[in-house]
Amino acid sequence: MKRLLGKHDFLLITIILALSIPFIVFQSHDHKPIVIVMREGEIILRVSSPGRYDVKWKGKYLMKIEFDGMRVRVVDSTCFLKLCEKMGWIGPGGTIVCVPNKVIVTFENVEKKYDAMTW
Amino acid sequence: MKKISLLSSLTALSSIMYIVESFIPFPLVFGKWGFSNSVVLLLAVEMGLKEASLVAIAKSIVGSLMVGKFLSLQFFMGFFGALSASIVESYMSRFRKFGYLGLSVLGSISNNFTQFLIASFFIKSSLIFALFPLMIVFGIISASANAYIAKKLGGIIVETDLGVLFTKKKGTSFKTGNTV
Repeated sequence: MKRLLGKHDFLLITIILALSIPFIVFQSHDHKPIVIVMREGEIILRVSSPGRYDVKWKGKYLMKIEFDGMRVRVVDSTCFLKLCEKMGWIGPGGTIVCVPNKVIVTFENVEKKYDAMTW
Repeated sequence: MKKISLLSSLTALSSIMYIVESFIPFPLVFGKWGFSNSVVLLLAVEMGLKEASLVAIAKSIVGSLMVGKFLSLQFFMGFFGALSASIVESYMSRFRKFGYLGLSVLGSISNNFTQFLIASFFIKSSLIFALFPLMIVFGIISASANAYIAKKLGGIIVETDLGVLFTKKKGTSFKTGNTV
């Protein structure tokens, strides 16, 4: 039977941690955050001032988001797992994904002018 | 005949793990422990690609049928994720470099990557990959647990002496047992 762990395993885990932790720690920070809500790659809502907003797509209510000027969260969602609500507040650089509703809540990157779709 | 009974009982075990693991909380809201993948890991390491992928397919179908999510998005994510993990694990185990832990980590990364890929096709945006580094780090925690379970499970199968998993050398006092 194969052994549980060896030096190669520790090496592998160290490399993976070294590669992935910088991506988590050094997320991009903007000075004036703008929240965008996307469905199937197209922006359906753009929010720059604090408040609660309903996210609707073709007249159908999908979810309610709350923006406090710096962070955003999903307050209410029509999906059954409610993972997007449980994710809580996210700051610039973070992303909330609601797979059943095909909705992404994220922050617009002002400094880098690339299209979010081709990213 | 012994082999098919082992594979089917492991499939049953894996399907039950698929249901029971949802009761154990995971630090990340959209993450899961994925204990059922430990059976796939064990088979990929000790038997081969054919057996591992067979059980991966079977446990996804049986597990999702029991939960009532057959042919849903969650099913397809789990199905292809487990399949890719079994391919990666059995391929990498041929090199004899990594132990259970390393193979489990590689399997969890491929599993997560495939799931993210399917989800990104579904929502038609690759922004979901922003969560991928976080998923990898938490995946290492669940992969370590899975590696331990797989090793223990292998030990139990040897102890009960089903004679399928490993061919014992005659005349040697080779005792693998339930040890890690």
